[in-house]
This record gives sequence, C-alpha cells and structure tokens, in this order.
Amino acid sequence: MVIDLKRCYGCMACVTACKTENFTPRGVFWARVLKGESGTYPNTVRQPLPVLCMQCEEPSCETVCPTGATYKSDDGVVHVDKNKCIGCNYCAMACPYGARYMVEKWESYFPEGLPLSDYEKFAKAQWEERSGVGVNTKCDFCTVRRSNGVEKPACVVVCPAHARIFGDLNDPESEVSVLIRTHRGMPLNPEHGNEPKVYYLPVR
Amino acid sequence: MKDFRTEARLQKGWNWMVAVYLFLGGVGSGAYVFGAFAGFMGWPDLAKIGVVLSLPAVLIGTLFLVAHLGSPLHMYWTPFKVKTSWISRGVIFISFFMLFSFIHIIAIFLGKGADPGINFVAVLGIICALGTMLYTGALLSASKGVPFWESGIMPVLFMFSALVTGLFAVILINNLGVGGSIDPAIAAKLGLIALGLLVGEAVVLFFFLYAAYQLPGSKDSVTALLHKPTFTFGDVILGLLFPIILMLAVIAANGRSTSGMFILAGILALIGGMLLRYGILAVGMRASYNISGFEFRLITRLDPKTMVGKVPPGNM
Repeated sequence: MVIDLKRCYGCMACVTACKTENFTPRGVFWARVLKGESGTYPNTVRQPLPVLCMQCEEPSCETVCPTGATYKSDDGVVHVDKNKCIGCNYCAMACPYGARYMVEKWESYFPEGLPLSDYEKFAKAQWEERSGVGVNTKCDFCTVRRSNGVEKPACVVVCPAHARIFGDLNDPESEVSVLIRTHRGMPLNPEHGNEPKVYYLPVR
Repeated sequence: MKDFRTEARLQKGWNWMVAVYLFLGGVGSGAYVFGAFAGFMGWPDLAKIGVVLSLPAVLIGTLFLVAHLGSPLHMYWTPFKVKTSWISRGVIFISFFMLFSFIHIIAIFLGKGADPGINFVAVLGIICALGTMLYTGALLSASKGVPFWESGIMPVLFMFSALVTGLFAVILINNLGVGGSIDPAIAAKLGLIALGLLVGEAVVLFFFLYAAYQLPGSKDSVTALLHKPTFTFGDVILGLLFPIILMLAVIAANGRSTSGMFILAGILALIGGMLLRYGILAVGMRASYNISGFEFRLITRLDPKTMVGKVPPGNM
C-alpha cells in the first residue's frame, strides 16, 4: 500500500470505513489517523498521518509471538490465528507502529445495560467469528473482504482524496511500485528493520 | 474515540500484574540461587528457606501472568517457538526451574539435601534460575515498540535486582523467626554479599537510565520515571540507598545484633524491587514515527506532574 501524505487531509473516512468493514469493537482502531506536526520552525507543517498495520516483511510481532498465532501468509499479509493466540500482548509491545489491539471483551458503544441493537448483535457475532475475544488483533488488509472478490481494502476505496493506493509491490509496473520509485516513497521508521510494506509519499 | 486521542504514547498492554510476575519471578529465582549457594557454603537454615521459597514465589508469579492473559486456554502452544520468542524461552526456563526446585525441596524434606546427586540438581537449578532472571529482562529488551525497554542492560539490571530481592527475601524470612539466629560471622559475610549486589544494581540502574536518556526515543520515559515518586523515593532511596546504608552498618558491627537491620533492609529492598519493575513498565512509551528525516510529533500538552504528553481534546 502507498499513502500519499500530500493528499491526506485527515477526514477519518478510512477510520470509519475500517470500523464498518471489520466490525471492530469500541476502542479498537486498525486504521488510525494521527494529527501532528513535522519540521522545525519556521518550516513546520500540520500533518495528518494515517497509520495501520504495515504488514512488515520482518514483522517483530511475529518474531516475539510465543505460540505462532501471528503468522505471515504467502501474499505477505500478517494474520492472527484466534485459536492459537493467548492474549499475552507481547506482539503489541514489539510492534513499533502500534498496530496491535487487544480485545479483552466485546464492548458496546452505548452505556452498559442497554439492549444491543440488531446491528450490534450482528457486529458482535461477526467480530467473534472473525477475530475473537481475548485475542490481540490487527489489520489484515481486509482479507475477508478481498476473499469475497472485492479487489481493494475498505480504507482505500473510501478515501476521497485518493491518498491510499493498493497494489502488488512485487510487480515493478504496478501503480504502487511506480509511485514509490518516482515520488521517493519511504516506509515509516525504516531504522526498526521491519521492512514495512506500507510506503508513504512525503509531504515535500 | 478516546483511545487514540489521550495519552497516545504510553503503553497500556502490560500492567501491574505483569510487574508482579516479573518481580516474583526474580524473587523466586534469586532465592533459589542464594539457597543453593548457602547449601554449598554450609548454611543449612538459609539453604532450606531459599530453596523452599523459590517454587511458590515463581508459581504465584506465573499465576499472575496467566490471570493477565486474554486466552489462557491456548497456553499449550507456548513452548514451541523458542527459536525467536522470549516468552517461549521463558516458559522452558521456568518449567525446568520449577522441576529442579521441586526435586530439591523433596530432597531437603527427606533429609538428603547434601547428596552429590542433589548438588548436581542444584547446579542445573541455578542455571535455570539465572536463565529465568535474565529472561524477565530480555522479555522487555525484545520489545521494539517501547524504545525505553529496548536496552541490552535490562537483563543485567533485572538479574541484579532478582539476586538482591531473592537474597533479602530469604534473610527476611529467616530473621522473622522461621530459621535460627544467624551467626555474627555469617551475618557479616551476608552483609558484604548484599552490599556488593546492591551497589552492583545501583551502578547498573544508573548506566541503564543514563544510556536511555541519550536516545531520543527513550528520553521521555526516563524523564517520566524520574518524576515518579514511587521510583525515586520508593525504589532508589528506600529500596537501594537505605539497604546500602544498613548493610554498611551490618559490616561495621561485624554482624553482631544485626537481625533488625536485616529485617528492615529486607522489607525495603523487596518493596524497591517491586516498584522498579512497576515503574519501568508504567513509563514505557511507544516508539514515535518519522519519515525520511521528518519526525512526526503528535500535538501534545505535557502534564507537568507526570511528564507524560497528553493530546488535548479536539485535536483529532
């Protein structure tokens, strides 16, 4: 995936699309947009920074996982096996990008005691089937959605600024590969050595 | 929406329960090493307490860890990832440690604590105990997401702390009336050993914090830790400085009528050991983001009390 920081204006559409697509419960944000600043005065910019799981080539969450619950599939996406995860949170401590979310129990957005709406019941059932509770979860580039024949993850499709581009990094002619080559695409914090597969096109 | 707005940088995944686990793991393994050492030195009371204490301490600590897990029923998968995961390695170390410790305890109660076979078990137990101590630190050092913990000094610091807390736990229990009174010559030697370990821990702690302060990613954590009274007062002053003074007094008195000093130093050192782990976990701040030389800073307001950055509401 490529994220063009010049285009992102922090509308949070990706955040909400992710929540809708993956039924993530309260407090879980597989896709986030941080608002911050960069540069030194007077050359500073206010800058939204969309972050998600970087699907690293060398994922430190996979390295430290004591059970093998976190694993990398053939297409390079990092997944969590809910039947193996013990919920120790070690992956969350090892991930330098803060992409892991522990879900101790499914919580409604509404005050406790209120009956669940039909949508919430559906969302809860979907979450328990796909990701589970007592498990440390993460973005998997909308694997369920893509396995249903939709080409791109929800956050990519919904972005009104076309700031997110999804494609095959192994194909040198794909849009993502060309953008990374021609627009100085860089991963976040390359010093961690995780070789992230989400690239950012810098603001300047 | 609270989770990614406020205190976005502090880790929340490992709480006081993990700190108790790390602490009791240290106390248990330290007590065993000291107990086995006391056995070789011919101090039977201390040897017995050390070995007998080790197993329940580690076991209770492990229960705290298990209680902290989200899905403890999947735990049978844990020993199979020793190649890369420190938790898997820790499970192996702790399991073998508990096994050797259990054999040793049975032998002591059967009156065969000094058998050559048991001495061999003790050596294996010491190796596993040292592994357990180092593992509690290495577990944190392997956490790339929290730069403050990602330090090679961490296992050494936790090893020193484990030896200190283990030693004092044994002497404390002995002096509280479980064992006999300690001979002044032995008390003076114990004072010297404890002093060496305490000074060692203080030096390692200083270098650990000094090194962490030099790195931009962990500087904020050091500042936050030094603003925590539980650390500066609880660990450094009560848990290290006071016991050092008390041990100097023990050595000056040639070990005579030092029972009270050992009891006080023991209580303080144990509290200090717990607060050290808790403090280190509590101030763990997440790694920051940067792209091609531009460091991305969250717009935060620093809380002057805790020195932890808070993102003001309305920023998102």
